[in-house]
Amino acid sequence: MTRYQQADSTAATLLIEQISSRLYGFFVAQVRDHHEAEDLVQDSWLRIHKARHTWRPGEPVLPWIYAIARRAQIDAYRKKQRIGQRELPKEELGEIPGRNREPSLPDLSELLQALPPQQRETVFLLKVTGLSLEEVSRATGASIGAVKQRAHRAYSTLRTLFGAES
Amino acid sequence: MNCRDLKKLLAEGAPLPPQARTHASECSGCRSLLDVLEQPTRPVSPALVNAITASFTREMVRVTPLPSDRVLMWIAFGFFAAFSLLLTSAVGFRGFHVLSPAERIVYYTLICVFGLLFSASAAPALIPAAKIRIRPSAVAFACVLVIAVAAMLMFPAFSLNRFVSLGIPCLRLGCLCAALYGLLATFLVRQGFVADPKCTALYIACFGGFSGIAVLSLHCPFLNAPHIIVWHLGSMAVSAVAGALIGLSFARRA
Repeated sequence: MTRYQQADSTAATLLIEQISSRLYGFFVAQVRDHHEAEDLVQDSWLRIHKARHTWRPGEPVLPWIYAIARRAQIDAYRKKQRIGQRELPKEELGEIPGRNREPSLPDLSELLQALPPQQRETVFLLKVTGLSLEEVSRATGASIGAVKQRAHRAYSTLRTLFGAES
Repeated sequence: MNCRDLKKLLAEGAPLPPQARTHASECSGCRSLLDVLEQPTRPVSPALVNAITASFTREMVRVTPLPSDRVLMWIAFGFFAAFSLLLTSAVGFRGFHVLSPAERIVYYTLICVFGLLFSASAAPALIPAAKIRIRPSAVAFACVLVIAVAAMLMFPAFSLNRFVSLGIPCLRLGCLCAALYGLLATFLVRQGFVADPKCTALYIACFGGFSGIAVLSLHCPFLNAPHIIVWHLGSMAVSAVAGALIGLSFARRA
């Protein structure tokens, strides 16, 4: 990241290659539309590039990137709302895996649709991206306690989708 | 180890211990949950990555990172102090002259302490994912509370004579300071990246309102507790409401 700030194009290429898939996964889990997710990845990179001077050496990179990506997603959502597009009705989103699910595992992004947006984002950042509680708290602007609570609620909801608890 | 313990461990965000894996191997629900959570995410198309790389690497310019939180705090405090003194020099230091030396020490120490606390919350307003050390809302709340108590203890005159006619000019000046401060601070904040327009607008408005309180503490010669509590602190309340509304409209328009 420091080399990216110093205009090293090799470092920029490496960073884009490493981070883009993570961002894409993050957006797919949120919006469930691959084209929209790709647009969001592009928009996020534009913002990251413009804001690259706000990352300071010694600070964690991923929370900084996800905070910018979150903003891109929120803005895109608001823009979509403003121009009158509606989200797909629930029936069109496909079935949320339930107790009588198929033997094959559901896709993570499908499963996460069972959660409210904040919980979905928290689970993705914590479990899929592997950020720590503090990093998720910094990326989302929520307190560590709130992140823990959201994660716990999310796992409770997800666990009930896979049958009774022991 | 049971399903409940596993959920708790997952919520902690820590790596799962062997006992959790053992439980998951015995419990089909937990195993399925872990399998789904641990499945690899789909990679992004290489064409998109190439397109992004090509568009950025063409025009790479060296940038200097923003300074540390401590430096940002002192910059914000210097800006606040310079703004307050400059504006007071335009309207007069009558309030400063009517205070006794002891009152000056107590009152202006409080103003400086809260100025520093507000300045310490500057980094999250312009840096994405910056560590939030002090919540601006907590500083604003504490500031109103402490200054109100200090005013009641230091200026125990509770006369309501010409309460409104003397108060309106103070509120007007306080709000004007807040608006000016807000405009200038917005320019400074735009040097960074605003990740949360609502919170940033509210922060700037509260700090602007506080600069109004600082100017009034130097300018207003009425040493009357109800006057300070309602009209001086009121400028912060008015600017906070205005900041919240501006932040909401920015967030909607983004």
